[in-house]
Amino acid sequence: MIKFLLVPAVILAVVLSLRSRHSLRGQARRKIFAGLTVIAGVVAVVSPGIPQRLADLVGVDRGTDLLLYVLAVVIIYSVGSNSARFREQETGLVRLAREVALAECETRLIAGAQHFPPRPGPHAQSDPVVHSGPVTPPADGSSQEVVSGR
Amino acid sequence: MVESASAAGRLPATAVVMPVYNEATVVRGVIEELVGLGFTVIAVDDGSSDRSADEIDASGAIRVSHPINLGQGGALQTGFEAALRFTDAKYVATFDADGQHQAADLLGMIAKAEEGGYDVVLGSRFLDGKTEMSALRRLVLKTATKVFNRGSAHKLTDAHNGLRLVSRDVAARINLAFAGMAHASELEQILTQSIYRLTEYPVHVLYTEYSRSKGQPLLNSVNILGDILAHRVSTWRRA
Repeated sequence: MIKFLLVPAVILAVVLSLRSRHSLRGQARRKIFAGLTVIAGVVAVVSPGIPQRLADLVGVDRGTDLLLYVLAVVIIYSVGSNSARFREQETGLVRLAREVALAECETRLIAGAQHFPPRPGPHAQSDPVVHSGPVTPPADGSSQEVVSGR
Repeated sequence: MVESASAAGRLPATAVVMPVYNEATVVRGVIEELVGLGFTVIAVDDGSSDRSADEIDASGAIRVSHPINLGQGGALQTGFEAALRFTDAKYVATFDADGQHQAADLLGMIAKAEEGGYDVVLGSRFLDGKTEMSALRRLVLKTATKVFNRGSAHKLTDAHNGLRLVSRDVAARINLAFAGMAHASELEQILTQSIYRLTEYPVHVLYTEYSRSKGQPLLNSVNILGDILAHRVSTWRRA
């Protein structure tokens, strides 16, 4: 009996924890879980018979065993959601660092172009690579996106 | 060989993206050679703690400095974006900063792309016997290549070579999600889509005293292999 509860619970924990954390539904779900955990903890402490009765219900020998199973599922969910959250933060950090680096480089290139006006013709012609980027300001406004987008 | 190539042909505008992480002792020479050949070098200083940034500035490359270390994949993605933003290069290449790649190979890859109209040219160490490596390293790399090749449109002979050339359009479509180790397989997964015209070019990788001491000990091949497998599993889950 407990097998049929535990296996889906583990799968559900993994899937739910790895899903997007930005949805309102997900946030609400986590708050409900937190509230239920508190209530369940209080109940289990106040009347230890209840876990035992639940254990009998699902075919587990002892209430403590049931608690252990539930704890395992909770840990799996927690690890999954932490890693998802960590990855999201890392993605944001990478984007932020990249934009900082590109913006700083662009500033330097523009400053360089102003301080040292384009070199005279012969060199520019011999140089097969054309630099047109530094003098044109970014048209896409991508640096603002980072600040406001996420 | 380098002279003949630059003298013979007009080099199509090519930006060379070079991730740099604590390579102060060698990076300047590597960049100066490429700049001398007419390449625009975009050196992405990935939060180096040594004098790499100064060396890059002295070498004539465009320097993009990450405020923190993001890993090689993160540096490559930054480099691609910088190449698109700051240059109008027709091709974007990736090149290692430690001197293990040959500028002559890059020139050959450009020539091949021009002649054959290829979108993607990947360097391969296994197309001919020029690169010397230990039997164990060869085995690990071959295995990695086999694992990678499963289910992709193009079959490659070398899955992890840092010398690559892509057209501007392809570079614009690259968006590496993995900043860390798995970027190489991710990048190749992007580049080997069947819509691109892809070819390989035999390159000669010099495992110098320096590159041996620095990077890629054999254990790192294990990391790469693990990353490919993890990547395969995770993309399979998402698909």
